[in-house]
Amino acid sequence: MYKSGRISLFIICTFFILSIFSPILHLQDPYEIKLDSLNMSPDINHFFGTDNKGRDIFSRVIYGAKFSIGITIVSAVISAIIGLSVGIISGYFGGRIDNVLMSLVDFVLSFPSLLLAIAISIVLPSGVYTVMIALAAVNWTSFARLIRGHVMTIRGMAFIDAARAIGCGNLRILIRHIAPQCVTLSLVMMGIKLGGLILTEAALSFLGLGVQPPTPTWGYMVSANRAYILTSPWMVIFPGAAISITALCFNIIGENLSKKYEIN
Amino acid sequence: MTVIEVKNLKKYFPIKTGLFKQKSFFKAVDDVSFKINQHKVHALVGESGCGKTTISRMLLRLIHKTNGDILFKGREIFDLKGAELKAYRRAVQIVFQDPYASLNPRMKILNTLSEPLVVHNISNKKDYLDIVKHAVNRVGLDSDVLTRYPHEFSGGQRQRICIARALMLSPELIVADEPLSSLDVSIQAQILNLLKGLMDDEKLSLFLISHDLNVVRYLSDEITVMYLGKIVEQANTVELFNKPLHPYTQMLIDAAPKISNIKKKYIQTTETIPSKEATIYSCPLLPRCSKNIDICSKIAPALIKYDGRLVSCHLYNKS
Repeated sequence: MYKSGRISLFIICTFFILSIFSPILHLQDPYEIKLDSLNMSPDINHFFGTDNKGRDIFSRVIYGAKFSIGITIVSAVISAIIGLSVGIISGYFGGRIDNVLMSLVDFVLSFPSLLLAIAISIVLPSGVYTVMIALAAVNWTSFARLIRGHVMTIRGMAFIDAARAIGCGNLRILIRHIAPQCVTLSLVMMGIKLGGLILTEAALSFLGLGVQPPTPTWGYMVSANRAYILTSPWMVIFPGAAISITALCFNIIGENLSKKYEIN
Repeated sequence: MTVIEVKNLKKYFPIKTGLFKQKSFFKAVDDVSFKINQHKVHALVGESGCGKTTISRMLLRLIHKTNGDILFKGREIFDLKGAELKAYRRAVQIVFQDPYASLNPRMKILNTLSEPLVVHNISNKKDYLDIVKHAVNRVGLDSDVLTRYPHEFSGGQRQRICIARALMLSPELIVADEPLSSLDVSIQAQILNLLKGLMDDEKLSLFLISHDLNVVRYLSDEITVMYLGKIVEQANTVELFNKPLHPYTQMLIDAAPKISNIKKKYIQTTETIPSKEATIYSCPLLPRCSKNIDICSKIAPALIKYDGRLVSCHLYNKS
């Protein structure tokens, strides 16, 4: 039943590990401009062809994987941590604290998410961390909402009363009794969010707001070569396919996680 | 010596009404007073929804009171702060009704049981294992339960673990909120014997909340009978069972199933519990009472002393 999830996880791990070890794999240099091999279609030397500056697209796609996948996962983790903290505090204390925090969530949600990510990327100096921050700033809200609801149901359970009766303080109850109950849920939510995150990351680089060139991110490669889509489609197809395949794999992983833990 | 004295305790829950309607309250606990004496078992009896659990939650400071006093050795418990509050938490422990919900499903039994020690900074970490082992042995479990999770146990075993947790801090009073009602009958007897044994060994006091009169008769020294948030009768166990005064107490005792009267026809108690609004000016038991007299529909009875006991019924009002 979870075979598809395992395969997806395998594909993403392969991409990521290949990318990290790309310097020792003797691939062609992803940055090297070769004027004698411009716009070459895929052949035995260049599996995915070359782009308009003669750079090998295969090594650029592999090299770019660590940025796209790494940024996606790190920003998902950051969103989960922020969302978990806000959700737990809001759900446990309720009342005025809940109102304030949930108004903040509503405030963030009232922006179109891509627009907010764009705004943050413009304001902050561009780079890997900015993209992570921008993605996390947009995505923590759904974690907060979900966790809050979950905590509100846990809060009324007898073992929380029991903890209070033996003398646990609020902080201890939050960390030792409530947070562990929310980890699975945020893991599942993370799995669901990853697919969307990698697409947003690609969109940001496509718009020139992500990691800056010459770093070969997938979104940027699609964007830079889109003029050649009719004459030399391989320049766009392969990075585009890389985006689609990872997004698909992330989505399948998310779905498998939610099935496994029976959360819908 | 009195461990806990409850005086005129009230808990009103506000009922949500419309914007311009008058605010109204649900009187869950209305003017309840009793004492829990040292090394004694005080039982609180009544049917579902009469406010028993609300009282236990107030005793543990899990919810606030509306009015009245709960005195622990002469000190109001809602005024306790800091170290005094910690000492109170240590002295009063609770065993909940539902052993399935009252253990954290993600914590191993060892962690659940050592948590009170951690919170109250008792002895050093090296000794925790020994103390916890001793505690589980005392409630009749093997020490290999410690590495397991709550879902691996049956209801009876879980309730034993809950009792062990309550005993960890060697409390002076244990509040047992219907500790048997979600257990099988055979397990009930085990837990009952366990409680009885602990009462004798540990010299602690027990506040037993129950709707099972057989259990109460077996364990308790004094009984308070509650009906719809109010006390209807208060007496020591022997007297109460020998000669129940209040018609409601008679009804409860009569309704308890016994082997000897298995074919007996029970007194009809099918009449539903009246809503509070309907009974402001009359005895709340009126629609269910077979002994009602004229005055019952006009004035609500007050709690009076009769024959050295407390009862709230017009039948015993001499004046």
